[in-house]
Amino acid sequence: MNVNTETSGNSLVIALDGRVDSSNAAEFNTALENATADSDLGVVLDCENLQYISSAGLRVILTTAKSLQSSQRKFVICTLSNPIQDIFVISGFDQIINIQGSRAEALATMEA
Amino acid sequence: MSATRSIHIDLGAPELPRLAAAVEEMAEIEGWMPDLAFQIQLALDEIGDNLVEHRAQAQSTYMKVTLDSQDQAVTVEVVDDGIAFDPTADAPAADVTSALEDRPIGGLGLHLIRTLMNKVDYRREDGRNILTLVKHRTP
Repeated sequence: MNVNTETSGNSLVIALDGRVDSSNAAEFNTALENATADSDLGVVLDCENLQYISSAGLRVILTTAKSLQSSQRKFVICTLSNPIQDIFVISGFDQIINIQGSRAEALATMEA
Repeated sequence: MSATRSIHIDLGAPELPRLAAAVEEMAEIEGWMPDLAFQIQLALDEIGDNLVEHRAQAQSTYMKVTLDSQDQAVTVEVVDDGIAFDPTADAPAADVTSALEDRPIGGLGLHLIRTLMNKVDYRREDGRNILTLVKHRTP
């Protein structure tokens, strides 16, 4: 699992790569905390290269969404593969997290 | 085509990644659609995580997973030696509807399994929990 962060306009874009399961969920959580600390920008989590995520990883995403909301920062997730999009929907995350099809669409919602 | 394979996992050791590897191998041999391999891996991960997390209370030491891939469906049997626990009846329902600030963290694993699999059956036999999952090859 890899997390790469860059700034694009008024957003932090975090590109997540690889697999997230119980063996590295704690590491994923720390990586997201580090990536989003020391900034008040909105966050785009780009999952284009995310191959796999289990509920251990979904917990980290929910924790991050709650923490960003409590500091009034936007949070958008984009470019989910079909099976991952399915588990986000089954988990009801699509009702509480803004999910976009591409990074461009995600960044467009950050401008609004 | 068909293939069967069993994997024995020591719950006290970090052995769960062996399950994902076994699923990938079978998916390749049997020509599973990528989404099917993903869903079987996810189901096994969720069951394995629960067994590892609760192994002290459940007094369980191992899980034995049997993957059986047939033309129409994949059947996954998970046996463990812990105290009786029926995840199809004894686990609380997941909250997938409340607002972000009220949404509880966790509890999604079994909900994912129940939704993704076509069939989930539990039985207790000879002091073991036996969970059987069936997933059709074509959606």
